[in-house]
Amino acid sequence: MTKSVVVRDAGVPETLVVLRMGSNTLSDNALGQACERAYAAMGLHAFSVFEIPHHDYAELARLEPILITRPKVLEASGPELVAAGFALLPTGRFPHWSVVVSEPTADQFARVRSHFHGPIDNPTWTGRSV
Amino acid sequence: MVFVSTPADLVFDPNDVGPDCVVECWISQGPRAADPTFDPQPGDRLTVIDEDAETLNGRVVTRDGNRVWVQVEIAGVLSQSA
Repeated sequence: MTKSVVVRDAGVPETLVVLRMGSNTLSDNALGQACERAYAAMGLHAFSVFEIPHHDYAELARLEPILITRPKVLEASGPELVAAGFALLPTGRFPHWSVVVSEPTADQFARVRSHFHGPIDNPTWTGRSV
Repeated sequence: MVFVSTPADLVFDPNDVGPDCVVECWISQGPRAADPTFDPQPGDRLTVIDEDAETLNGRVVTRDGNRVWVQVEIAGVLSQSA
């Protein structure tokens, strides 16, 4: 079945920093599940990240309130991911992006995971739970 | 995957939560995948958990078979209208 992937008109800026919320969300299990959902929706093995607008965490938290619930995050450079062969698609609403992997295997997950730094403290974390 | 207990009803990826605080979850990927009595319907309140074991409360907004869209509750966020 043909899938249509809707992307925004956005290039990868030189300074694009993408963020993955959580410290374990790049586990093989989490990435495998994300790829399964993305394949059903887009026909691509991918997982979600968020662009940090101008590296301003407060702005990202305003756009994506879920950020304030996460004590730790992982960061990666968009251009570095692209240079390493991972397509970066501006899917969904800004600031959402999809990182595409060629196949949902432990080797590919380890390779993409190596480009994410952290976990680092999330400066917008409120420390409150629901 | 085997879950020893059911700490929550569904698993979610925080990176898939939208600005409206709604996230798509799959029953088949969650702790209650083998529970035939689990039948979330729009309006139902439940809990979602992620890979970091962070748990949030939420409310079902849409259901399409295996796929369930949940609006999570985030403390401090006053408006969560979809």
